[in-house]
Amino acid sequence: MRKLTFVAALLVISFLLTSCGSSSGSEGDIIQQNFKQGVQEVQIRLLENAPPVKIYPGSNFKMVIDVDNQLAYDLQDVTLTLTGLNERYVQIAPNPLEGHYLDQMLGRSLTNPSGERKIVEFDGKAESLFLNAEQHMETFFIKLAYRSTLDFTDTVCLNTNVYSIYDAGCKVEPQKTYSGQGAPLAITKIEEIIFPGSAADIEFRINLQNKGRGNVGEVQLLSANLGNDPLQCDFRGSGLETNKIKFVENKKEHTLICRKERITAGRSYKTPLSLRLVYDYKLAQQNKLTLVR
Amino acid sequence: MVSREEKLRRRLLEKQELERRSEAGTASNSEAEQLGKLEAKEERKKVIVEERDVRGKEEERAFLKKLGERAISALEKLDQKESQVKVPVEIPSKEKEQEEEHEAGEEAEERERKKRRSESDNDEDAEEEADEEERRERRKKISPEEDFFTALLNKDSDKKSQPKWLAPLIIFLGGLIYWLRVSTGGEVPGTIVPAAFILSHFIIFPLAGYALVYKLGRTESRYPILLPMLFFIVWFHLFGRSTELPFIVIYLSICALILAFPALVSKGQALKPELYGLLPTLFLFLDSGLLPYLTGNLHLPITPLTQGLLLYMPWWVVYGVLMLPEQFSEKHEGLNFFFGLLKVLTVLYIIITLVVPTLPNIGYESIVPSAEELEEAQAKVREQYGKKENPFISTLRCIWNQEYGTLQACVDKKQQQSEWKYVCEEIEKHKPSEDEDSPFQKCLQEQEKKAKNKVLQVGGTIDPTIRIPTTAKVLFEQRKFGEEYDPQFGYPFGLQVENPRKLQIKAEASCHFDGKRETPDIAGEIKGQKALESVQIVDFSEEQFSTPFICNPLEELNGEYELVAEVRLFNLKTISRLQRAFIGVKPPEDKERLRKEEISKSLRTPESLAPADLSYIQFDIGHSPKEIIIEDKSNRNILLKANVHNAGGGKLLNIKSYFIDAQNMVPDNSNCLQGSLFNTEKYTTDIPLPPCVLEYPSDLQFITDWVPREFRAELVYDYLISQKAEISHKTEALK
Repeated sequence: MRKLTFVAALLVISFLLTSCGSSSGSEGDIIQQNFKQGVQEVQIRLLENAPPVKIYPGSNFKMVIDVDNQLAYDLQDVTLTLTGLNERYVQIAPNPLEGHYLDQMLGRSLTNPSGERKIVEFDGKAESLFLNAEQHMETFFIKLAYRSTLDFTDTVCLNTNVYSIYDAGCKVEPQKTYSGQGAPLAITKIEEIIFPGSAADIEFRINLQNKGRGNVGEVQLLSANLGNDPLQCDFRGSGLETNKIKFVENKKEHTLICRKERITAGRSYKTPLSLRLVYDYKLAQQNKLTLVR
Repeated sequence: MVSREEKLRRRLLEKQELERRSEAGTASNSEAEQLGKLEAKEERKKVIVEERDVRGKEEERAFLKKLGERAISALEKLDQKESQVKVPVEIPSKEKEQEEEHEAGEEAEERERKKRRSESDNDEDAEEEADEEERRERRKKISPEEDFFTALLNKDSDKKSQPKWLAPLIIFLGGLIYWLRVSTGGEVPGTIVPAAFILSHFIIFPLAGYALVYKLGRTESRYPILLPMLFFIVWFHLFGRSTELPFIVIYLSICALILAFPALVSKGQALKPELYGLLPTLFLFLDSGLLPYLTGNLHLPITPLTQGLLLYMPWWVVYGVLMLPEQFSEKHEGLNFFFGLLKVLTVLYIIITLVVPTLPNIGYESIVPSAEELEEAQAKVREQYGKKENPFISTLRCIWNQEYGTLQACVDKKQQQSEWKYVCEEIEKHKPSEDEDSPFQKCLQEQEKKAKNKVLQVGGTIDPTIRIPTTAKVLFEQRKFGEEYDPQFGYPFGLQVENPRKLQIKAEASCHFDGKRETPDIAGEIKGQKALESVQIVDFSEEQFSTPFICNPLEELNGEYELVAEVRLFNLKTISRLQRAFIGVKPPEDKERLRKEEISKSLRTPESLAPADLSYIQFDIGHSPKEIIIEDKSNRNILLKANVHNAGGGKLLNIKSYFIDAQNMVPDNSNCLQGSLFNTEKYTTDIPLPPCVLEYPSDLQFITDWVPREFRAELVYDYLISQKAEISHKTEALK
């Protein structure tokens, strides 16, 4: 009896686990859904048999790539290229290094909950194998480069009068973490530091992290506001242009420091903190082509 | 319905009445007869009862004796365990022993009574019950720990407690997964529901754990087996198979801590079951695609046959078969036969899958040579690399000369010097001399100069994608021709050529007899229709070519000789290739990122690749040896270095032409890209080609990404292969 109960419980749990997250949601759910959360990426997929699993020397084939924008933001200057294919074995048209320019791709939104999808085609021709080789495998990369934006908004509590005991307002959260804003680049943490005084200063230390599979190029801060007031922001470790930063190979995160000076003292209150950034992103997906005799 | 007691009472009364009448003399003949019958019956009964008693007692004695023996062996096992675990064992007192024996005896009697009842009433259930009780008693007395393989082979395992449906269910579901993967790629037909994945991870995996628990007879202590399985599932699904080092270290530490707890509590007894728990995990890993990962990501070279066997192996079916009980049903022999047959077929399938890859030319592409090929290669190497001094002797010499501090360098130097001496003395036939101006010393100096030539230090490797290289062999049917062989018959030998690329080859066969000791050399001639001036020339272009020759001595043989059969092959052609990645101008961090993330995955071999032909070009292009990335930097030269490698064990007669396709890279010296070299016989191993500096290709200067390029080097050459045979012959006059 116990065993039967256990097996039955296991089956139920299995079905629950597999059903979690698989529902597409009703119309009401979509309206309530906030796309600008979590980490999302552009999905790149080769269609089945394009190219075929095995390619014979001297034959023509097609390479069809499905590009699906799952970000909550539109993409600009989208370019798809192929790298790593040796022209002695495979000829690709158009020129794989120049690739296809896809211009713009819409992101997920209420009016377009699944994001924009584009199909890109390359024509290929397999050349001869080396001498009497049985097969040859080419490892190549489908690369997608684009420019996109990142919006961040959250409500923060400002309390310049830290010595006040009786304050029925909000409580300052010195540190808040976030899962993402619907893009591969994400603001993951914000620290709020208040320098108290009659004219207090407030500083936000914003942690920016590359959570995606690709590489972030240059990130530029377009705007940062606390309520209606602009913030003075600098990237730590930036050069002359302090509103820009480049993500180098080893570093996957950077810190943006924003300050607001001379805040009028008073009771604590909540106000929105909003940021808008623009960044370059490159994504590479590894694939294989096999030529067989 | 009259009860038994009532019947007995009436019979007794009847008998007493008859006895009374008989004594009184008033009994009739029939009554007397009846009395006689009753008495006879009673006598028979008495005898039967006595016999039963005797038999019963004997059986009882035998049973008690058996029980006693088992108790002794159980105690011995317990003693052994105690000596390891060091738990004080209560030694029963004599009275206790007697009590236990008495109890055992009583229990045995009870069992006997039950058995007797079952014999008289033909009751199978009572017997089974008695057997069941016996087994329980046995299990109590014998050590509870069972050997894994013993349990797997069903000896001493509890058949009754293992649900019979469990193993067949796993087999059925395993077969279903197999069918889904083969037919629909693992999804429910017509949908994208990953049914194979769900079945494997969430249904079969836990069932497999429980099947193992029952198989090992560990229903009371199942958690040590199930815990490792749980950890694997958590890592696989909740942590996304993360392989980041900090996470792995922390996670494994936590798992080890949790697993150590039952092991400590049970004083090490739970450790084995925890390890057994890895068995379902292994099968899940295999089913989830460990092997496709190895072939896809680590590029294990396997043929489509092996690929099919391994990728579509029904792992869960195999597991289910392993979990089957030895005797599935006590009543249906057909079912037992079926499952037995299934076990045999599964084992056969596993054996074939494991054995096939080791068979040459069936499983693996020919990276692994056969034993014969190994022997030949070894012989070639010995011949090719000359006679070096025994390293032990070199070491002793270095120690004698007190060169301890640089012992290894000294040994290497001595080895090299011995090789040069061999070349100068044996091959170039110079007489050893200490005179600086002598040809021998000049030869030694030349060898030393060549060794210092950095060009010779370019290496290459065999192209694994070319399974059949161009090779040729000279073969004697017998390596020794004794006195009994008549030289007038001629000495036959054969030429065997593998020519997969169908090159147009010309072969010239010849032979000669080298006298041993004081015996003079004798020339030989090849006899045949097309023989010309002692040699025979054949032209061919077939993929596989073989032809015999007969060698005749031009003079009478008298003594011991070494017959040398030679074949010169003309117009052999080989092409080598080398891959490099051009990145233009990029900052160092981008260069390293490209190298790590892309280039190293696309271009895996930094050396030049060539088929295992008799000879081929080894070459290197780049900023430094084996550097795959070439960048456009004015302060870094791009050097081309090459040599011709003699791999066939014979002699490279002429390099008719060599050509290196530099792919739009302009050299500072055009001789490095093409040319020819004649009379190259004197070279025993690598023949250097002139190096040069190349310009960065103009078409790749402003690339935004990286571009792979493959360079090819073609070699056209003549080659000499030979084989030797021992001949011993004396003329009639001297016999």
